[in-house]
Amino acid sequence: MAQTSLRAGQVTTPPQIQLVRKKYRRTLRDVLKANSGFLFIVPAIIIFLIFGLYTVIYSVVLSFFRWNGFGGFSILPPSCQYPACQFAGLENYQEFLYKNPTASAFFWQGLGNNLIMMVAVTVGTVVIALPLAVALNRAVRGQAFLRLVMMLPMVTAGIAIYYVWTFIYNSDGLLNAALKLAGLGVLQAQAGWLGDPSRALGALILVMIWGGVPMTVLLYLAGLQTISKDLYEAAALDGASALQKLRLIIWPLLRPVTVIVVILTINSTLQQSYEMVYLMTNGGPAGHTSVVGLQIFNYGFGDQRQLGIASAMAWLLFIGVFGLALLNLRVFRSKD
Amino acid sequence: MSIQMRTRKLTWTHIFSSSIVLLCFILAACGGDSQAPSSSSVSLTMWTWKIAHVPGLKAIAQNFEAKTGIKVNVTAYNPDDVYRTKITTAAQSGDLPDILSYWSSGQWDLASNGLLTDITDKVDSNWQSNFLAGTYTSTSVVTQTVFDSCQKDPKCTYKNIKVGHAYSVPYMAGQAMYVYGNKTLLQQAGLDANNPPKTAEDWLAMMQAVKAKTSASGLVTGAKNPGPLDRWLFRPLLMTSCGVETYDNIFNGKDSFTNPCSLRVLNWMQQVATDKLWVPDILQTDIDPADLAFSQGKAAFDVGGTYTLSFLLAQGMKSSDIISFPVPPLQGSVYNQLLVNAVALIDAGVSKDSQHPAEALQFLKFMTQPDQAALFAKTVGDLPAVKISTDPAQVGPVIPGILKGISDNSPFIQSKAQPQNDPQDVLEVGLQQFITGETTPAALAQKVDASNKAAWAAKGGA
Repeated sequence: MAQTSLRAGQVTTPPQIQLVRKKYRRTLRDVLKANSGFLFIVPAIIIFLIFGLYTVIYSVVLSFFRWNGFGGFSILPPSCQYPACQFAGLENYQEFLYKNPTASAFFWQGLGNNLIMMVAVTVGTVVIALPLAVALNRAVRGQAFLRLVMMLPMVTAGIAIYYVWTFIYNSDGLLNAALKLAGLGVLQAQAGWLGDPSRALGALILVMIWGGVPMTVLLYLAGLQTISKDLYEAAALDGASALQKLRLIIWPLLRPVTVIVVILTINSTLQQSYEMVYLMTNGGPAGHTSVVGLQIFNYGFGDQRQLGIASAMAWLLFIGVFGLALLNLRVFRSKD
Repeated sequence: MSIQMRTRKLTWTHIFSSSIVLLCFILAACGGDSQAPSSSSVSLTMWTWKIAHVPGLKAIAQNFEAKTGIKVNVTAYNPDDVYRTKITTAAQSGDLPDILSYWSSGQWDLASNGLLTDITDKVDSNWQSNFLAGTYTSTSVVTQTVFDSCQKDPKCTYKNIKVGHAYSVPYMAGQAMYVYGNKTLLQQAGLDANNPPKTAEDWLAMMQAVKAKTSASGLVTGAKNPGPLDRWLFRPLLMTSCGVETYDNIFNGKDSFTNPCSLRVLNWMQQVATDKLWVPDILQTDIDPADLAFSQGKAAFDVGGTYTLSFLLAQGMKSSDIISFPVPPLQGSVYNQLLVNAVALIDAGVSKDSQHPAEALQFLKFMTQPDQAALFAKTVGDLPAVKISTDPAQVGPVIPGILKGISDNSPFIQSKAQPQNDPQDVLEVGLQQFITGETTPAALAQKVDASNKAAWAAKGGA
């Protein structure tokens, strides 16, 4: 141990304490060094807490209150000033589920339309996108151009798409004209495709499939790159046809991609379809294309100003989407 | 420099730069309005959602500034739901404008939350005399009917407003229930284009003649929006058919939509659909596209409002080629003609966030003076809620005709009907279902009755 000369009155620190202090200082520096990255992500965390977590909690709490949106309600600090705000408990949920005969009739009709969309768009998108992806995956002339054309719906603004399709679906629009030209005049919609109660929902489903196929093709194309060419060669040697290759090699190996596609499609049909419905049909004709998302929008931002009911409906929809996504994962995983 | 020193320096550099970045975010988030208020001049802000009204309001603001030196900035936020959302967020953050426009009769929620200043004592009898009959007193002042209805409804969110109190004044009025006819098409069909039909049956016959003899359809309106079929066609027909007392009783749950006077209205509306007199794609046609289609000669008649004529003229139609009349009554109706009153459509109030409430109120009073309202009418072609001259030089070519059709004796002024949201929704969808062929008048009447009964039961009874 090094000898240290002391001046008179100088207090010495015992060696053990010096060692602990030295160790503590090193650890603190190390901790700072190791965690300095957190300072970089703190802004993102703050943004998430305010615009993500806080708004989610706000929405959950709001679903149990009746509120017209003009002051009188907050969760930080907790406040609900009568009469603008009243605690409703589960009444908001009960209102549109069964208690109010008119509201519940509209809700169940909208939900039914959502479910039809969900199944039809999911199946239609996968059935069209997978063969397209397989075709585009081949090294053919003009492949790059074909891929570019395929991606056009993805880069076109939604509103423009909806308005163009509305014109296509008019009684004197492109679709009816094409059917007439092809000698299929009997299939024309005399009242317009969006004005015919038996065809309006199908017309919207077609637009959703048209809009969803490019992204799905992209995902499948990426997935196809992961399939070893040896498998194709082996299948070819065994005399497998193109359809057999698709069914026995490509489809099983692309199952993880299909899981993602199904989850994304369920989400878009249940939660994001209201924009298309609002612009193209506004829920008509006579409610035949009404969806839950549109009703949430009308309750929350229409002249009724029932934000509590809008929140309750939105949460119920989320739970449904979440449940379906989990079910989807379970079904596809069970086949692995 | 040793490795340890370099490492230490790097660590402190990381921490220092991270802190700077974090501080920037915090300062940006906490940044407020950079414009310092002028201490020497007063400036007011006014919001509306009607883009078409901005030139008229700005013209009034210009005159106000010339007179008082107070500048008024007018801004429009469109469409309606964006405007409502804007008000909601501004109310939370304390950023409401000095003067806020809102839908007449819809301002009670704002008032009950203290977002609009109580101006009851400020609107004296002199000021009140400026307004058209049935505007200020019906929709800007809390009536006993509105109060009682709210007290009975457990879901009503403005129970604290007081009868007789006012929080805004109307500045724009109008009325739907007007029919516009294309004289050229009527003449082509061999009809008298200068005399409007006296009954709804005559009107139907005219539509059928146009359809048979020209390439045009009989009728158009914004049927994609469920409101027009109900409020512009069904209600005026119901009023004339049943009379004001039965009309009120039906909507207030004391009578039924299956009442014969109501059923014949539904029968008439169904017949328009079954005779295929609507333009093609009618259920995909909203209000403006409907007026546009009429101006392009696609239909002989267009159901609209006082605000439709200026749009038609702007599309290039000549006023000499248009005949207009209120919705004609059915034969044997209680009233043999429909008297249409002006209804307040837009109110303006002084918001709680105004730093200059006295000046804001001064502007409200200024803009609802007859000369300024006339300027508004001339500039935008819409009817103000104020009594104005009928001189075309002062109010433009459109307004005199509209004013001629407005009556102070309309049964709608006496009406105390309170249509409920739910049965209204059922009725509106049902009227569209006449066009799709999915329902009948009797079935629809029963459905609406059931919904009306449930809605009134939830409010404590009819």
